[in-house]
Amino acid sequence: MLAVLSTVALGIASSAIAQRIRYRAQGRGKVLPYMMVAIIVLNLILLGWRVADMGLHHAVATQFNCTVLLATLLTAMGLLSQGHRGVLGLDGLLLPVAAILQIGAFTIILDVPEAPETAAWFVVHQLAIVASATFFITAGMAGGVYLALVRILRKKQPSPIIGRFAPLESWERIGRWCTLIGFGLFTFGILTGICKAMHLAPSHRPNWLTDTVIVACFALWAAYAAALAATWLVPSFRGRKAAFMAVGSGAVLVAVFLVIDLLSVVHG
Amino acid sequence: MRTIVIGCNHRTAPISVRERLAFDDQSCVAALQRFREQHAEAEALILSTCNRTELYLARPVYAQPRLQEAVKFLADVRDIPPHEFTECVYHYEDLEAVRHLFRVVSSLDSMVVGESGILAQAKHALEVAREAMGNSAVRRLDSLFQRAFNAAKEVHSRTQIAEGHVSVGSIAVDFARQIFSHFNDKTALMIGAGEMGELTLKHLIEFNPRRVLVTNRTFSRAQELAERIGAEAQPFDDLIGLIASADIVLSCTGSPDPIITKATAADVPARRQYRPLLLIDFAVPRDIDPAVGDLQGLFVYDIDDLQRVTDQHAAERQSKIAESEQIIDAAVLEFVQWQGKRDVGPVISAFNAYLAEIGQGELEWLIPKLTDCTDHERELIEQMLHRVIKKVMHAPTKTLHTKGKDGKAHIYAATLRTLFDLVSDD
Repeated sequence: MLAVLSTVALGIASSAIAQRIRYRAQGRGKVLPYMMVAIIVLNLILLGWRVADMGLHHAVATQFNCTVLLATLLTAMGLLSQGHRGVLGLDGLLLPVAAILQIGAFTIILDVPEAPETAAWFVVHQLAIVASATFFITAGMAGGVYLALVRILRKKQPSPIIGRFAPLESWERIGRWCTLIGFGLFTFGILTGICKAMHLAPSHRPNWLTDTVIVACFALWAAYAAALAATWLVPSFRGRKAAFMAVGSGAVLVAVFLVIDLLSVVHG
Repeated sequence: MRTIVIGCNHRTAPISVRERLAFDDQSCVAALQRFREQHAEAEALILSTCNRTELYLARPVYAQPRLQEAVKFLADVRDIPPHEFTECVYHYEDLEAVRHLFRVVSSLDSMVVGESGILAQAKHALEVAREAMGNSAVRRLDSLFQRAFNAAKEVHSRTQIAEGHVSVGSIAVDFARQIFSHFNDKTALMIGAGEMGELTLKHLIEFNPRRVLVTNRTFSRAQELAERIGAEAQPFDDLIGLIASADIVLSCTGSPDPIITKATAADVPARRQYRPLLLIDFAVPRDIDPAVGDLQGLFVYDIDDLQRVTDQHAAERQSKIAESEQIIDAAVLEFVQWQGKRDVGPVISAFNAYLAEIGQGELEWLIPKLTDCTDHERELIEQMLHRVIKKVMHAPTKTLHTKGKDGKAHIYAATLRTLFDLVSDD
C-alpha cells in the first residue's frame, strides 16, 4: 500500500515537474518539494517496515528494496536541487527516472533470498552500489541535458528549453562531480563485494568470468576509470565527449541494475 | 461614478507631441494638486511613460470635468495650445476606459507587446497620485488600478506573454547565461566600437564579469570606450591571444573581411583548455567566419541568428494576444459588475427608503380618518402599501442590475438619484 502510494506520488510529481518546465507553472513548483518529502518519507517507512519484517540482511538482499532505495535517493537528490539556479531542471530529470525505477520494482518477484553467509560485507556492498548508482544516474542525466543544450545552442533556434535548465557549465560540473563521487562509491562497492565473495565457501563463490553482473560491473568500472583519467589528463576530453561517456555509462548501469541483475541467477 | 481616460500614445502621436505632453514626478504631483483644486469631487491619475501620456478620471455622473475640460486641463498644465495635440488624443469612457487600462497595464497596448515595464510604471503612477491627492481622494481609481494589476499578473502568468526577450542585446545575454553559470570569473571582450556591441556589453556588465576588455584597430577609440563603460583597453595586435583569454567575445568592427577565421582561431580551443567560448558577431559584413563555430567549445552567433530568435519571440507574443484579450474581457466584466453593485446598491436602498417614507406619511394621514377600521383592516392596508412599494421597486431594481453588466448602471443610478433627489451613503 505504501509503495503504491509513493509510486502514485512520484508519478504526480514527475508530471507536475514536466508541466513546470513546459509552461513555467510556478504554482506547481511550490508544492513539489512537499511532494518529494512525502515520497521520501513514505519510501523510508516502507523500507523500515521491510527491514523490521525481514531483518537487515534479507532486506538489502531483496532487489525490490534496493530499487526502492535507489528511487528514494534519486528523489532526495531532486529535493536537494530545488531552488538552485546552478542545478535548475535536475529534479525534472531525476523524478521520472525514480518513478520508472519504482514502477519497475513492482515487476520484481518479492521472494526473500537466502541470508548470505558474510552478511556485514554484503550489506555494505549493496548500499555502496545503490549509492553509486544514484550518482552515476545523475551524471548520466546531466550529460544528456548537456548534449541536448549544445544541440539547441548550435541550431541557433529559439527553444523552450533555453532559460528553463541550468547553464551548460553547470551540467558539465554536475556530471564531473557526480561521476567522481559515484566512482569512489562504486570502487568501494566492488571491493566490499570481492571481500564478501572471498569469505564465502568456495562452492558459493561466483564465477568471476561468467557472472554477467560481475563482468558488467568491472567493464563499467574500467570505463569510468578511463573517463575520469581522461578528464584530468586529456584537456580535450570535456564537454560533449565527457557527456557522451556519462550518458552511455549511466544507461549501461541502469540496464545492469534493472535487467541483468533481475535475470541473473548466478550473481551473489 | 464614471471612469474616463484621455491621452495619446506611440500610435496616435509623434514623439514631438508625446515629449511635450510627458510628465515627470514633480510636474505630475503639481498637475494633480491643481486638478484637485479645480474639481474637488473628481479623482485623477496621470500615467506618463516614454510611449504614452494618459489622464485617468473618476467622477460623479453629472459632475465636471467633461471631455473638453479634461483636454483643456492637459493643455494648461503642459502649456500647449489644445489644437496642437487634440487630433492625437483618444478618449474612452466607462467600460471601454476600464478595458483600455487593463490592456495598457497588461502591456497589450505597448510598443513591444509583453514588456513588463509598464506594470511598474502604472504602480508608480498610482503612488504619485496617492501622494499628490491623498489616499481617500483616489479611492475609486485605486480599486480600478488594483484590479488592472491583478488582471495583468494573470495575463502574464497564464499566457507567458512576456517570455522571451525581443531585443538583440538581451538575446545575446540570454545565450551567454545559458552557457555560463556565473560571470564573476569570466572575461568579456569587445572588438570594435559598434553601438549594438556597446549596449550588449552594458547588459553583460550588470552580471559583474571579472574583466571587461575593449580592443580596436584605433587604440584611442578603444581607450575612449573603455573609459566610458569602465573597461580595460587592449592593443589589437594579439587579437587571437585576447580571444583565447576571453569567455565572451562581442565583435562589431567595420572590417570588410572576417577578422576571425577558422584557420586563425584553430588553436583557440586548446589554448583555453577547451572551455566554452561564446562569440557574438554584430557586424555586417561579418567579423567572424561561421566555420569558427565548428571548433570544439566555440559557439558563434551572428546578427541574423539573434534577429531570428528575436522575431520568433515577437511572433510568439503576438500569438498570445487573443488569449490575453479573453482574460482581460473576463476581468473587465467582473470589475464592471462589482462596480455596478457598488454604485447601484446605495441608490436602491435610498429609493426604497424614499418610497417607504412617502407610504408611511400617507398611512399616518389615512388611518386617523378611518374611524370604524378594525385592526385587521388596518393591517391589510399596510400590507397593500408594502406590496405597492415592492412592485414599484421591482422594475427599476431589475433594470439597474441588468445595466450593471454593461457598465451603464452608474448612469441610471445617477439619473434615479437626481430625479427623486435621493441621498445615499456612497
